[in-house]
Amino acid sequence: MSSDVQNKKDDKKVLVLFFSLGLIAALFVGWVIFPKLLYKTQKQPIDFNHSLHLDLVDDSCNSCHFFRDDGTFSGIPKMAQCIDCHEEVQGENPEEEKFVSQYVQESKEVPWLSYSRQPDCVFFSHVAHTQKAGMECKTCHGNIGTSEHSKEYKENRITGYSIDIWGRNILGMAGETWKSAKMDDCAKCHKKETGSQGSCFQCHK
Amino acid sequence: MKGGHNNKKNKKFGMVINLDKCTGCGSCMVACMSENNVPFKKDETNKLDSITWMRVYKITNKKKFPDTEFCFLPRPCMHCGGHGDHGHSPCVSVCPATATDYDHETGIVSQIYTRCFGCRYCMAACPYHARYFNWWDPIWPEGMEKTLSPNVSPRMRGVVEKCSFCYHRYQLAKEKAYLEEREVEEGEYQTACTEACPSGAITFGDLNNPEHKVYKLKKSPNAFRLLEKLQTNPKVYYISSKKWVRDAGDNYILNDKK
Amino acid sequence: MKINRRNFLSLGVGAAAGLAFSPIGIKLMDDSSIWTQNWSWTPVPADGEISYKDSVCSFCDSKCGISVRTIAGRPVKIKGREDYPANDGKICPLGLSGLQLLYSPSRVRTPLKKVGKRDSNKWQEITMDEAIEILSEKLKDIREKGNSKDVAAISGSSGIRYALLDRFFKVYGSRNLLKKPSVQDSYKHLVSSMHSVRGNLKFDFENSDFILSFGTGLFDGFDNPVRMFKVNSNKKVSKATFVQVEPYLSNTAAISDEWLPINPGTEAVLALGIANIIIIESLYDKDFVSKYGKNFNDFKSFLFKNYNVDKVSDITGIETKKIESLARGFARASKPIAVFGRGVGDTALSLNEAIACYSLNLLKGNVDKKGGVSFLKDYNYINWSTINLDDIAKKGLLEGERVDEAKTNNVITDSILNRMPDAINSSRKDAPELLIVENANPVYTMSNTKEVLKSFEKISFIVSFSSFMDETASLADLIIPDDIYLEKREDCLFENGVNNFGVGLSSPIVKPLFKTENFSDVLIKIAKKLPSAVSNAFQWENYSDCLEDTFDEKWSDLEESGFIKEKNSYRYVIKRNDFAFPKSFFDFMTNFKSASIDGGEEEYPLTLIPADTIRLSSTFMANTPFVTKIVSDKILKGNYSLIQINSETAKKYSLKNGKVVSLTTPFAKDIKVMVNISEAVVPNTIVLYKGLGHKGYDDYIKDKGVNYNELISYLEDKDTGLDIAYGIRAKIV
Repeated sequence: MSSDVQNKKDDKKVLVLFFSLGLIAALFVGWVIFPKLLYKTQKQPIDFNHSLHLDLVDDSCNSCHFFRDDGTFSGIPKMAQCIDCHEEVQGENPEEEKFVSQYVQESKEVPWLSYSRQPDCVFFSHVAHTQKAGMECKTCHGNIGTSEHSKEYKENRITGYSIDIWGRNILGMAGETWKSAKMDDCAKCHKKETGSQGSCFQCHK
Repeated sequence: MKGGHNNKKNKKFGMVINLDKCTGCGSCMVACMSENNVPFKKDETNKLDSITWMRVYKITNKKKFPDTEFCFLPRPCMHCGGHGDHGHSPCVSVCPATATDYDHETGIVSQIYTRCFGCRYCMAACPYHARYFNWWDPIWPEGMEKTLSPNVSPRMRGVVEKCSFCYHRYQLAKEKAYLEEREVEEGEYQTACTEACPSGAITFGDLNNPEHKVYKLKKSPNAFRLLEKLQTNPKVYYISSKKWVRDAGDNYILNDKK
Repeated sequence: MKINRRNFLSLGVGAAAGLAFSPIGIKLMDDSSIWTQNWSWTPVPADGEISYKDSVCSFCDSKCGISVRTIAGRPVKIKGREDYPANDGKICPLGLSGLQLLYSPSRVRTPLKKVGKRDSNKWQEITMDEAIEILSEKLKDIREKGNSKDVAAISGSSGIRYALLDRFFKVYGSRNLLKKPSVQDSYKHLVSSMHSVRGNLKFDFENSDFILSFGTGLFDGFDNPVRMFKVNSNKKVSKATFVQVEPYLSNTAAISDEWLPINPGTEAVLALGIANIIIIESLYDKDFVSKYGKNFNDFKSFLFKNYNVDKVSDITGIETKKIESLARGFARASKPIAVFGRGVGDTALSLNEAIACYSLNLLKGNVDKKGGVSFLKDYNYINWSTINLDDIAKKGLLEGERVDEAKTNNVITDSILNRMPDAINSSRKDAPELLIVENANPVYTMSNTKEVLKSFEKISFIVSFSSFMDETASLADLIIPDDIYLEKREDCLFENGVNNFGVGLSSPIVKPLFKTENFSDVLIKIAKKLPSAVSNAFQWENYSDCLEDTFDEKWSDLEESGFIKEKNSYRYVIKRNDFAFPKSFFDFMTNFKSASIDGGEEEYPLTLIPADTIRLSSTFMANTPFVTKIVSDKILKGNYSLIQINSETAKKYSLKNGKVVSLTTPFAKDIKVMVNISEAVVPNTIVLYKGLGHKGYDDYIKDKGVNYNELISYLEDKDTGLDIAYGIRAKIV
């Protein structure tokens, strides 16, 4: 009898064990392996030192990421801008050397991977946020301006978006403001700051 | 979102089209297509599936020869405000996907292609046939896609599209104004059709702003809107010195008594 | 420990629970819903800096200023250039769609040599140098054999480009540089025969208070369309009157104050009827007539005898009351203009008809006046060094005969292109050994296509400089594709109203996309390969050099602002004391005969007439896809042209809307067209729109509808030799 009880108890234990095994394995897959698989990690073509450049320019971020006269935002600088200083190798950084030899001298644009690129259906006005609303670049882009190395670019294999657009930790909880640039995040901030999440056309084209 | 809808500061963009000046040349249609990446097919003679955000209709007084008269009537999206301008446009109120909304700040009715799932309720609801369905994927001849504008997203098959009053031009005008820390001026935000019309028949501006040309023009004794009795409250006004044309504006069922 | 089924299930349940508490489900759902909004197969246009580049549109001869919006150098949109005198910020639908030409599927992307038969459409790709070599060798051979006269060209150019070609033909030794005449040629003949001066006839619509148009498509593309649209808009403000006399309710007629439907071809009769009433009611400008009106009494009695209002009403189909009120309205206006030439004016008008209509302007003395008609000399800015002709050239020019049989002494129109096919086919003239075609598509634009094709078969070698695979290019033996206007620099004559003209400069918006080269450059290169007698006349390095040399000290101005407006435009006006009214002022009125409509009445009971719309280009340039898209489905449906036909007439022939019927004329049999019953056409008349029925180009225009030119033949004006064919008799089965 008791061995039966014992057996049943053992069976239960085994069941719980198997259940736990399955649970742990699945959680491991879901929380650790899946996020790794979902995102493709790429290195920037050139490891760019923002901090170094920031020290050398007069007008902080605006020096390279400026507004054109018509109010549109120039975004990531083109070769034409870089060439002003980097026609020849300036220092001893191998990345700069690579930049000059592979891109400047070949007059090729660097295929930078944009952490914050929105899809084609989105219109985003930088000037409305920084000039009109007085926001800082950091609010949406984080401390990228003071970074010494380019962080890895992680692209969602399904959507093709940068991880910085979804931006949340894998728990689905929003972290810093610069780690979230999905529509709901925009709407939340707009609701808070302007009292309205805005109409569709405000951001969509 | 609706909180702001009676705000005095709100703009109400609209159009006044002088039909006496319209020659039916079609420049507005072509300018619109070129501005908004509207696709084209090899055969565009079935006008039911021919996408023309702006379309010039040729209306007739229905009289027999030789008393026949024609009048050209350009028809963009009317950007209906609905009764009392509360934003209950025929299309907005039926969209199950919230792919179209009414912007109380500008009075412009949007259409978000990525959100649209192509049920076409809005097309059935629109009394002006201003909405078009992409029955096919757009195809540009090799290389011609290089002439597309980045300011308007190209569409795919299965979604509805329509005139946006060139909202992207408003966005661009606003960007410049923000940079220069001022308001957008009347001339800075003009739709592509307005800009293109060689006859100067189209006037565009803020219907709420007494300083804008449209404000005065819409009050012309010859001004009328299409199907006013439906209370769609369209933002496109027409001017015609011909009575039959003005009458035709509200005459959508034959022998219908007014 | 045994792994049994229960244990296994437990593992599964555990895994399921684990997955449920992991982000996989939600994240995958979220990501896949985003994925559905990524349409990888639709293009994502690249963003960049917006800028505007000024240039000039060369889609038609109006040469409007354009401003091209580019995104990071990529052209995306054309609009009218704001400060350009020809069009002042606006442009027509064709001009707006010009970017579609850049990447048009019908562009000839490299020089091509025909392999096999003419109509085989088999080509060999060759280099530009090879193409130039082939053509210059041919030209050299022909000249050496002493046959320089047997080289011909059909050109649709103006400005320096035409001047270069003209210069080439002179030094080479051929008189066969041909152009397709238009209503402008009729105007020149009119000015010459009425006033014995060489000049162009200009209408000051802007300042007129009454425009009476005898079928002129003023707002369908006549003159500079942008100018005319502005005229219309201003008329609505100034309350000027505009009456359109036309057999169908064209767009022009639709926006007129009054449309007078008239029987086809009887416009001149109406004009004379109106003149008669004006004289009888003594409403003419007596001062003017007493001063200049020689033979006025003859004219008066001639009209009185032949053109009483009842008879005119009978012929034209317009009620007498209407004719009378029109005459009074015209005569009582202070600056009335009578304008003539049917449609957009791409075909000529008989001299008699022109004079009949023109006489109304004379009766009101509204000539050489603001708000009236004026006479202007040709605007010219090309003054090159004179050329020396060698013996071969002299022989070619003196002894060579025109393949179109144009009279040598006819200084007004030196080209009667329409005569060429018949002259060749009936062996009255030898076919040219070499035909150069540039800015022209004669196989499409000339009437009686069959005859044209037949005559082209007899031409040994055809070279086309077309940028597009048009009807003539596909028949050619060699194609040396020209850059399109968005890819090149070129001088462009413009004109907007009577005293507003000059020259503009088109500049490349993009580098040539394909292996093409500017015609003028190619011509200079070819000339340089020929014997010194020819090459010496081309002292320029290239076309750019020639441009700069031509404008000399004005060049920097032109290059900077993009245009030079003639400041001293009055210099070109032929003042009244510059000419004398001819003795035979109204003499030939006595022989007046209204234009006949080609073909017999018994077999062909209906009259077929052409119609123009600005939404269809009927010139050598075919429509762009955007403009074809906006063509009405009452004009083109599927691949059928629609014929517009009056409801009464349709009933008579039991025609139903949308029915496909066979249209037959003396020159084309069983052409399938669709019926559109319309109240906008006079009875017994069929209207067919021009600009359709292309056999060349691409799928966006090819094989759509019927080419009107195929259905008619030319009809020669006895006074001028010009092709004045307007309508033709037709029947429907």
